[in-house]
Parts: sequence; C-alpha cells; structure tokens
Amino acid sequence: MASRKKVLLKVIILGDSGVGKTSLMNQFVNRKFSNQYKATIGADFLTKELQIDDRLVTMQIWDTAGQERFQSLGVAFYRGADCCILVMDVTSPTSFKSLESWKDEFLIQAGPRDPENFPFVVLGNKIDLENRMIPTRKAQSWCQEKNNIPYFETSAKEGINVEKAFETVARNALAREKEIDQQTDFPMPIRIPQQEEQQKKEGCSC
Amino acid sequence: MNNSPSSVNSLLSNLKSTIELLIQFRGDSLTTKYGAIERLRLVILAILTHSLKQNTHDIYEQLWQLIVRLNANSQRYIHLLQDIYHKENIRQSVEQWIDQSVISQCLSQQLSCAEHDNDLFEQYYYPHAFMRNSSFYHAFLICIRTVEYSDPSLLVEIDPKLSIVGFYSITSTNNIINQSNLSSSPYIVTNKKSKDDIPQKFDSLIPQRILHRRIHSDPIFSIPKDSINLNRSRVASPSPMSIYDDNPFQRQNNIPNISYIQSDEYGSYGSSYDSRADIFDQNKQTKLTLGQSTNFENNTNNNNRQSISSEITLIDEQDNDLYRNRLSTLINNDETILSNNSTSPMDQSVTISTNGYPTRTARLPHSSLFWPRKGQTLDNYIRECDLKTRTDVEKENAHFYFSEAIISAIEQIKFTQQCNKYFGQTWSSSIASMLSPCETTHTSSSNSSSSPPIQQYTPCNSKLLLNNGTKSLNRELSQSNRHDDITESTTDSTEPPNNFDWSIRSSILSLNLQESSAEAIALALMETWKNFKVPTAPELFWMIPHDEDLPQELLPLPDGISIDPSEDYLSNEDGQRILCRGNSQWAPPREQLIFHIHQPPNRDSQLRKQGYLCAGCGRHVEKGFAHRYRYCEYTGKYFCRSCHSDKKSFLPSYIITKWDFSSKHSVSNFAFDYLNRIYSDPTFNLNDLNPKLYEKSKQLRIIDELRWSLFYLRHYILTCRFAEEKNYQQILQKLSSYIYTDPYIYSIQDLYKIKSGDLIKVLEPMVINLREHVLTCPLCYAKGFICEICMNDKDIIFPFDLDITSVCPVCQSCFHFQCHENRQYHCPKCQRNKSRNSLTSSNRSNTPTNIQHEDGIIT
Repeated sequence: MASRKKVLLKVIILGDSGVGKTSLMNQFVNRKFSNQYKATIGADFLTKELQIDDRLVTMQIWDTAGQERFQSLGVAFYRGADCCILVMDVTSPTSFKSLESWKDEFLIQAGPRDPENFPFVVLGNKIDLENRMIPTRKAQSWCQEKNNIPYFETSAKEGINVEKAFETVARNALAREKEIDQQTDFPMPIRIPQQEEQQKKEGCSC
Repeated sequence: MNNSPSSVNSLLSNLKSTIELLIQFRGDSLTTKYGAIERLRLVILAILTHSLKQNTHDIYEQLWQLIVRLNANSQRYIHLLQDIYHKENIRQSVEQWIDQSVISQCLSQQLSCAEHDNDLFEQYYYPHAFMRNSSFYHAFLICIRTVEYSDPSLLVEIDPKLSIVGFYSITSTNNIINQSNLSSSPYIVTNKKSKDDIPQKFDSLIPQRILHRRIHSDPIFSIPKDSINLNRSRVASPSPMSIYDDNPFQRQNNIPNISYIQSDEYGSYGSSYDSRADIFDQNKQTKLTLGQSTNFENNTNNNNRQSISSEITLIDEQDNDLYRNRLSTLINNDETILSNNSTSPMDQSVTISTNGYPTRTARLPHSSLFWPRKGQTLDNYIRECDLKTRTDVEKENAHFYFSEAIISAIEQIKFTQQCNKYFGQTWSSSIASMLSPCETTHTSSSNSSSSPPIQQYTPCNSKLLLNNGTKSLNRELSQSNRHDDITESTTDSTEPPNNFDWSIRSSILSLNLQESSAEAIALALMETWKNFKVPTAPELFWMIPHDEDLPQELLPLPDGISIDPSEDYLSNEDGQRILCRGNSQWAPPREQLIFHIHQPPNRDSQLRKQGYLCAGCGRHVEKGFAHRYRYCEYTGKYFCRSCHSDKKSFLPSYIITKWDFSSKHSVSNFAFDYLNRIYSDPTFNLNDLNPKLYEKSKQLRIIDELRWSLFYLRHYILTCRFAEEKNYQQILQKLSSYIYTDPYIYSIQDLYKIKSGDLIKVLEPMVINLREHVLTCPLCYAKGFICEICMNDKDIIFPFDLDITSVCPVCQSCFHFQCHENRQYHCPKCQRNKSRNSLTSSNRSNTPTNIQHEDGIIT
C-alpha cells in the first residue's frame, strides 16, 4: 500500500466571483473570517497539514479569482490537481448555474486521467444568510446527477461544515491518489528559463 | 415708509443720480466737496431704513444693531464701530458710520459681507425692502463701489431695468400674491398701484366671481352695488380709440367690448383696472395683470373716474356664453405681456397721453431705446430711436432690436395674408384675435367710420392715426412693380395683398454704407412693404425679455446668451460658459494635432484663403507686403513676423508618415509652443495613424514587441505576491503606465527615444528580468497556459512570448502560434462559452417558473 511518506494534495477551489472561495480557504487554514470583500487577483495558494487516519497530508489549496477579468492569466495550475472544490452561494442562483461550466472548464484545462471519476466536492456557501435561493434538495439532485458529487452546505462566516468539507476533499483526493498509484500528472516544475527557451524552439508537437 | 416698488426704484435712482453728481469730476475727493457726504449719507440712510423692521421704537437703534451684525466677523471694522458708538445718540452713530465708511472706502466691503447672508436681512427687513431685493441690493453695492473708487464706469454694471423711474414701475413680485385655477388656466391678479400710496390689494379669483366680490367689498375699487346686481359682464377695452376719441363713452358703445363705466363716489382713488389674461399656455401660470388704464372723462363728473377697463371679465353665471367669447379674445393677449408682464407698453402710453405724465417708459435692456408707445408705427418708432442711440453698444444693440422687430413684422404680415387666404375676409374675430397679437377691431374703410365693420387685421390704432392725419400704416406709396397690390390696398383694402415679395430689393442693398445705422437699414427694409399694413411697434412680438420673471424657456435664446458682441463668452445648453472663437473671417489658431503633410505652399492662394490676415493674430497685410509673411509648416498657414519667429521644430506628420525626425521645419511660434507642449504626451496611436511604420523601422518593431511583452507580463507581475516581495512591481511601475497598458500609443518623445535607441535600452532588460521571474516563480508559472489544441501539458506557454504564442483576442486564451495558425482553429474556449451561452439563454425562458416552483418547495 501507500508509503508513509508525506503526501501533497493539490486542491483547486473554483466558483463565481464573491461566493466565498477565499473565505472558505481562510476559515479552513487560518480559522479567520472577514466580512470585507476583497477580490482575489490571479490565483494563490495556501498549504495546510492534515492528519487523515494515519497519514499526514499536506493540502495545497489553490484559491482562484472568480472574476472574468483575470482570464488573461492561464490556469496551468489545474494540472495535477487531486481534487476540485466547486463553490456556490446559496443566495445566488447564478452561482449555482455556473457550477456546470466551472466543472467542464476544469476538466478540460486540468486534463485528468479519469475525468468521469475525478473527485469534485460541491459547497453551498453562505447558509448563514436568510435570503436563501437554492434549496438543498436542488443542489443535492444536481450533485447526484454528476456522479454523486459530495455536497456540503457551509458557512465560511460561522465555520459551519468547513472542516468536514475539506476533510472529505482530502479523503477523496487521497483515495484517488491510491488508485492512480502515485503517478503525478503534473509535477510542480521549477524550470530554468534557458530550458524553457529550448523547449519553445521545438515548438508545438501537434 | 413707502413700500411700493416704485419707491425702491426711486431710492436707487436717487442714489445713482447723487453719485453721478458727486463723482462727475474725477480727482475731487468727497470730503472736499461741500455737502457731498451729507447728500450721500441721506440717500444711503434712506435705503438702509427702507422697510426696516422696527422692533424697537428707534429705527436707528435697529439699524445700528444691523450694522454691528454686519461687522461681527470683522475685527477691523468692529473697532471703528466702538469708536463711533454714542449711547445717547444712536442716530449720530449710524450717520458717522456711514460717513466714515464711505470716506475710508470700506462701506461696500462691509455690506458685501452680508451679500449671501439672507437670514440677516430677513431678520431686519420686511420682504419688500430694498435690501431684500437682491438685484437692487446688488445695484446698491455697485453704486457704493462707484463712490469708493470714484469710477463712474462702474455704474454701467447696474442693470438698466432697475433704474427706471417710471410712474409704472417694474412690478415687483410682491404684486403677485395669489394664483388660482379658472377653467384650467391659473390666473394671477396683479393690481397696479394707483396714484396714491394706498397699499395694493391682491386677490385671487378662483372662480371669477370671487374677484367680483372682492372688488365689491374693497372700498378702493368702489364698485356700486347696482353694477353688480345688473349681472352684467363688465369689460372695458383698452382700446386707444376711446382715448383719442372725443366722446369715449359713446365710442365704447360701438365696440363689442362691453365697457362698464361706473360712477364713482371715491373719486380721489383713481384706481382702475387693466387686466389681461394671458393664456399663452394653458398649463403655465398665466398672469392677469391689472394695469392702470385711462381715466375717462365723465359726462357727469369731472373728477377722476374709474373704469374697470380691459379684458378682466367679471361675469355672472348667466353670462357664461359671453364670458366664453371673451375668453377667446383673451387668448389673443398679446405678446406684450410675454415680453413685459406687468406694464404693457400700450397701457403706459395710454396713460401718458391722457394723464400727461412725463413720457417715461421702460427701456429695452442694454440700450437707450424705449419700448414703443402704444399705437406708434414701426417706422415712427425707429425714427424716434434714431435720435436716442448714442454709444456704440447701443447702436449695435439697436441692430438686434430692429432686426427682430422687422422679422416679427414680416411674420405678422405674412400671417395675415395666409389667414386671409385660407379663411377669407370672414374669418371670425375670435380666431383672429386668438392667433394674432394685434387686437381685432372694427375698422371701417378709411373714409367712413360709420359703415358696417369689416373684420380685418388692422392695427388697432390705424384709424386713430388716420383721423389724426399722422402717418398711416396704409401709406400707399406706389412702387411700380407692386402696382396690383397697391391698387388692392387702396381700394378700401378689403383684400390685403396676397403676393408679398419677401425678397430684399436691390434698392436696399444700394444703401450708402455710411448710413448703415440700424435705423437706416430698418427703414430701408420697411420701404419695400410700405404699402402693406404694418403692425404697430408695440404689437410686435418683442423677444427681448422685459422682466426677469419671464420664463426663459419661452424665449428663443438660451439663458445668458450674449447679445453684446464684445463678449467673449456665450453659454451653451448646459449653461456652461464657452469661449467664442473669432468670426467668419478669422479665428485664433487652435491647438490641434495635424497628421498630414501640407502641400507645398502657394503663398498667393493660401494668403487669399486667409483673407490676407495673419493666422496667428489676424493682422491684415497688404498684398504688396505679403512676401513678408512666413509659412508655418505645421499649420500650413501664413503668419506675420510677430507670430512667426522662424523657429525650427520637428513635425509629427513627418515622423509618423516618413519616420523623418528632422527638426528643420519652420513653424509659427504658436505651433512651436504647442509641439513642445505635446512632446511627451502619449497621443499617437500608430496602429491607426500609420501601421506601415512598423515595416519601416526595425527599432520600432522591437519596441512594439517589447511593449506587448510588458503588456502581458504585467498581469503576472502585478498579481504575484512574490514579485511584489522582490520589487518587480515597482520596476514595472517606474514606467509610465501607458507603455504597458496601451502598447500601440506613443508620444513624440517615445518615437525620438526609439530612433535614438534609448527606449530599447530601458525596456529590453526590463522584459528579460520580468520574464525570468515569471518562468521561475511557482505562482506565476502556475498561471501559464496549456495549449488547448495540442494539449501538451509539458509545455506551458505564456502570452508574453510573442513569437510562439497566439492569444485569443476575445477570451485571452493562449495557444501555440503554430497550432492556432496552421490548423486554423477557432478558439475552443470561445466556442464552449458560446454554446454555453446559447444553452443558458434557451433555458432562461423557463427559469422564472422554475424558481417559483422551488420557492414553493422551500415554504
């Protein structure tokens, strides 16, 4: 079975702008919440170590910008992701509708080996708010359609279900890790520019 | 204290005339002139005490309080006040304050402290006070400044309307008290002041009858009870006929307007009405002005008689029909009210002629011209004005006034003709009066006043003029080519001429240029239609506002538009002041970017185009000296030697079209300054101006690439926390932002630096540095692209590597240049987005119902 060595799990958080991606990550990693909205620019990651059963897991959580205006940046970091968290705002039907395209886009850009069984987790955030628009049943049925994606209703503000959701993320990612037998899709490359240049001169293989 | 507006006027005019007298001779100081200070003090005191609220028994005490309040914020003046304060004689203090302030030239300063402090004056003055009327108050300040600077030219700033001291002063807004609804048009009743200083009475006439009762109950109006019981409508016409006629009473009976002349026990109250309903807009507030009308000589009583004159309609219920008829005539109510909402010139002149008041009528704004008297023919009026225009400004304004009058007259004549054409001679009086500003009167043919009346558009006073043997509007001066018309108009003018020739005759144009005064031109223009029935001067639609209350939107000119041609500014629609530039011949050079290379100059033709005027200053040059003018290669125009010192400069046109940086081009001083000023402005979009330039210059191509690289690099650098830590962001931000946000925009300076190679030296190392960071930074590198076409995830590509990547202009996705171009792919991401959008838009129609349904589940 899997070795005792440290496992790095790469998790990508996706979702519309303002659904609470950064807040969820901050709540999970730093146990902090701020009501102030500050749009994420580009993409950035935080890491957190977790004990899953008997294994120490390092989660590298990539928080992304939900805004269209950052589309001039690439998403090469999708590659090699072990799990993808799709976040929607239960008070915003649009954010729910977008889940589909976020999922599609992720699968295309990340290009995982087994797209059908790639572990997603859907989070319905902001359940602390009163003006809820997306009923649990609707979200759940959507998740069931999509190959039984786990669905959690969370509140980054109150810290409800956040821990539980991320633990599931880690477990599912780890399970996949085992299946794929530790073959890395996308090693985090630290390449020297010169090497890069040489590669470029070769051009596209296609 | 006389609170009437006329007293406000007279206060101002007293002050003004006193000041005019005092500062007649510059250099004389006030103190050296015997009695000067005393006179000035008196008039100022009169103004300051006008309608002062008297809380205490002593008016001077009150005034002193006000003075102290005025100076409360000023350390300097409060000392002065302390010095002159005499507890036992406040009056002396006040007088001393005025004297001292005037002598030390600080009165206007002290007063102007309160210019925007309405509360202060509200506290001390009644609403009708001189000091509360901002225009008068302003004029007052101007007067005082005039004294202080002993500069009589300041007096010009006073609004000329204010200094009118006619018996019928400008209606103050106080006169308008009430408005009410009557048959959907609100009326305002304005009572004009009578000769006596009886406080004015105002009333609304919600139903018409209320006015009736009001008048009845008011002793001033002294309407005998029986007149009310008669249930008659009491309408007197302001028709001048009655004035000039020997027997006005009889004449009144002849005209359809029912005029009720009442006998009057209160003879001394010479009050009468001349009211006009002005229904020029049913929705607008309309005004019924009650003006003073003539006092008729009474057969039984030689005292002053009152008449409820004019169109005020006091109608009892039974007379509704009559009232309606009358109302229709009311609609006519002439534009004189539009232009002059209180004192119609007609009324003025009427009163003048009967009561023998001094001939003082209101002046036209910024002009020495008076409003025309009632019944004055247009050419008579113009001739009279000829004697009145003195200064240049007045002469120039006269052009405006007369051209307006002439246009208005032409329009009226034209209108009459059209009406006659369509309605024939029988068009009803109501229509005529509704549509024309001229009153419809019964005019018999010129010889027989007893013949059955023929409705005809005729100036109401024409008969009078005929009777008096003065100038007739129907002057039938023959002009050979208008013979038909003349015969028509001479034969009792049953049918006005139909074919008016509106074109200006050559005879007018042959005017002696020396004679080109407004009056001369106007009269010459009128020559052509002397055989037509020209409306009298006051009947014309005068566009010049006579009163500030006149709603601006009714006027054809926007607010504040300058009539004075010396003004440099005029207002646009938003009320912003914009500078007027030049005239049709010449305008000062404009700061403009000129991108084209001018044709080789042809001095003669170009100078002819310029009208032999210097393009810079408008100075004229004789043809013989034209060779002295210098050609400006930037503007392509000739300049005089003061405006063109033969300075050499680069030309943007040469740089952009030819990549020619030579600075040997001779330009005018204006162009030189301008080009220097825009030297570093990023204003040149080479993509638009000349994309071929990239082919011409390798240096430019390199810079273009470097800038585009920076354009893409900045996304990485500015969103990376590691780049921030390493100060890469600051390196980028040292550049002007347009360098990396708008890569196709250049300044002349940039182009020079490109030519010299300086810019490459800056940009190249920067791009190399930043690129290196992106490729080595885990965060930046993670934001690279994987070509979606080849899906080679081992090869992360970046948009700033321009030679190998192509960027989708829509979604900014990156592809290998080869993949994208060779296989002629459309951007796959854009296609996905497109299909998703079409899917969601087709689903969208169901969405609302879905949500409702789900809401139902929740509840």
